[in-house]
Amino acid sequence: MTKIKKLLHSERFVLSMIIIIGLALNVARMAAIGFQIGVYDDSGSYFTSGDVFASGNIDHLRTPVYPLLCHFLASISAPHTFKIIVILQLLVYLSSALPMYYAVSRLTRRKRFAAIATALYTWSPMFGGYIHLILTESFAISCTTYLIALLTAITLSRHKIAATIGTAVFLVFMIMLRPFFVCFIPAVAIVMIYALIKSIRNRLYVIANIASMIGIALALGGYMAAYNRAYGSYSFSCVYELNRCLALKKLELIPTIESLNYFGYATKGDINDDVIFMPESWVWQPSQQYRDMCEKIYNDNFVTYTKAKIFDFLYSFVLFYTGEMNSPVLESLFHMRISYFYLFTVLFILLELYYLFWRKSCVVISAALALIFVGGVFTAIWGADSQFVRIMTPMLPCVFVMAPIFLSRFSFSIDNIDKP
Amino acid sequence: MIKRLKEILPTILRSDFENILFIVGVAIYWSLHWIKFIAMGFITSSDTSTYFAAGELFANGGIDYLRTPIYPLICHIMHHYFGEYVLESLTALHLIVFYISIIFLHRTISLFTDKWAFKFIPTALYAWSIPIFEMCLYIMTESLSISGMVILIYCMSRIIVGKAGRGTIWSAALILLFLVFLRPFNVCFIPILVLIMYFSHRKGSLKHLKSAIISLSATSVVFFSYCLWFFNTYGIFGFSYVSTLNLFMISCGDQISELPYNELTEEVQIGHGRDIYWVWFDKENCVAEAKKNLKEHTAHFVKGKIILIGKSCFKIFPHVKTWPAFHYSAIFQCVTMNIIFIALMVLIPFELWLWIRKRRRLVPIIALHLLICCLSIATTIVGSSNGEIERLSMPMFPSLCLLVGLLAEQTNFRLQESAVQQSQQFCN
Repeated sequence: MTKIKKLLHSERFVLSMIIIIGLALNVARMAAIGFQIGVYDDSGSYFTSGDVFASGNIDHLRTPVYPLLCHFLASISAPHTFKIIVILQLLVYLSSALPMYYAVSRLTRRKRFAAIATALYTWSPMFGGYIHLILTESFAISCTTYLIALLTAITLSRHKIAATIGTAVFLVFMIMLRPFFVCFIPAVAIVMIYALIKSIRNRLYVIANIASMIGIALALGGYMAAYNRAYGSYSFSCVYELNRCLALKKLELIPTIESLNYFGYATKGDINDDVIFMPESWVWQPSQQYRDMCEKIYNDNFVTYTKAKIFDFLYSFVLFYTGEMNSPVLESLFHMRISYFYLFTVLFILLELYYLFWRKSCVVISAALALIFVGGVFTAIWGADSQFVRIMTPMLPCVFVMAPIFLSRFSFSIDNIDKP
Repeated sequence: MIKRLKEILPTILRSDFENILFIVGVAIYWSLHWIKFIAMGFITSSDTSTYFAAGELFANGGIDYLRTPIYPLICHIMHHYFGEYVLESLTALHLIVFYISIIFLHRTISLFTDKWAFKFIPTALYAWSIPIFEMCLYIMTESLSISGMVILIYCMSRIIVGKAGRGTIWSAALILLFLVFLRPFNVCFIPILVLIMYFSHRKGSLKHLKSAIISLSATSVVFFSYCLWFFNTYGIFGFSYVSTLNLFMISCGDQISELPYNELTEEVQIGHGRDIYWVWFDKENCVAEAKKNLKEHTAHFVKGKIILIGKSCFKIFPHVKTWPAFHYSAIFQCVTMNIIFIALMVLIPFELWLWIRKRRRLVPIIALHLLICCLSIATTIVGSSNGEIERLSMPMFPSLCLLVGLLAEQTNFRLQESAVQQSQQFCN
């Protein structure tokens, strides 16, 4: 018994168990759906974009990281590309349990909280359900967790310089994976500025911090400039513009979506000349005239558009975070309404404000987490046309860090003595 | 002024009387405001008219095959005195009983905690719940059942803490009688009262054992007599035909899509197109056949029930009918049933663990509420045919509200005294 207790107190053992069980659950979940891999029209567009990037150009639709990964794997072993992507996604997701544990344990200083939060994160069908999809969501979820750990390291670790530079590089990587992550910039900025102010006397750190910030600006600015030269707008991709057009069409402000073409697509042959045939892929190649017209209609109907987006936000209250489990009953048990997360975040912000103003406590990481959440919700609602749940999911790991922080603000104890 | 307010405020907050006054006041204002706001009048279903039809039968000395006597008789009396305003009067009755139940809920939680927040929050959760206001508009047994449940919980809690006199014991038995005759579903609470009295006696906190035995015996005799009367009239030993009908519906599946309808007699007509009620007679002994069918296909029946649990996970609890009218204002007052299932799955082992570790403070009362929740859900799942689990298990709502306060008290839930780490940990 003592040995078991000792073992349970060992971080390595707990983490290994969490990851092993997570692996088993995710494999079981995939087995339950016959190891099917979710390939959609969006998946096809990554392969199409991959070819564009590989030829040295910038793609209109996608940022480079995921398309290049798809292209690389397709050029090595086309028949196994999807399987390799899924395995990679699974491994990266499981490995992200470590930064989750690190962040929670450092922020709350409670190992039990960290273990519970990590277990819930690793076993959650909310995240596991995305692993078998050939989309960026799974990597995005894992990357958010890594980013949170890096932000924690900036404020709490002794290796602040490495953490700051790492954060800068990682943020650029994340935005290149998914332009949605632009909404995380304020959160990263707030932590970096805070760290800069706190360590203003440490010259080396100041230089590293400022260099990191300039590095982020240069990298992102450079990509945007290149995109502008190719497609005539300062952006990372045309997804937002397309979604805006779709929303305008839904509002019957524009008649059609021009040049949105769906087609079957075959990748170039790999080393054995095998190809992947994607039954459906898509590109959007509107004329400049059409884009100008949409821009003008958008500007003229900004109020109507904003109202529609507010309704979208209200509509999102009743949506569910879905997960896939082995049986329908189990699956249903883990459905969570988005409104619960909204409510929790509001309570979290209020509590942290209380701690900031009344207890004079520093809440920089809490502020960053709340910003990630709010930014994620805003970007998903404002920037997307539908499927808000899927688009919002990458900001969810921050809830798994916010919850232990929230709980650590309270104290719990259960009396030993039976009181009358 | 602010200084004075700061001095007075804690006293006001700590005073039970002012707390109750405030909560009930807000509940009255909000419920009436909300009823006016949705401006949709009374909520009736095809079941509503059956109560009026049954009321007439009970008033004439008969026994109804579908309904137990309390609510039909209330409907009948209200109709007799208020005529065309019967629905208004029934709503007013529901509201008045609901306001009274708020006081009982506050007193119940006061038995277990002194902290005003732990008393205030559960009471406010119950008293300001829009779904509960809506239930008062429902011309059905739900509202009285929820309010009655609060009073029964109060009596049970007094028995648990050893403050029950003869009056409380008799009240508990009478309220149980009322609840069962209001809604046969509440029969699931009989074993709870018996268990509480038994364990309180063993613990030595039940001072009036004789009263307990006599009251329980008297209640049992009344139940038995009614069941016997029902058996003599309709051939089934029970309180009503509802569970049999549900069983039949489960067995038949889609085969019984339409039930025959009758019209209310002129004496009890309520108007507004609500004068038609459904009837069901077991003409061809189909219930016996259905029971036989179910016995033969037990696995299929159990599977159907498991699927029902899965489906019920998405149902909103507390039950709301007028969802679009207050979609966004009340969304945070409701949860999906799966949250309740998960909470129960976490809380039951937690309380068991506390019991084993001999940290038993508040465990009995929390166990009582967990039992109420579990039995409500189980009875609904086993007994109902159409999966309206969120409406039928509404009597567990007060228990859920009370659990919030009780768990907070049990875990000594409070804000940390010291400022938390983030700034202190910062490494320069």
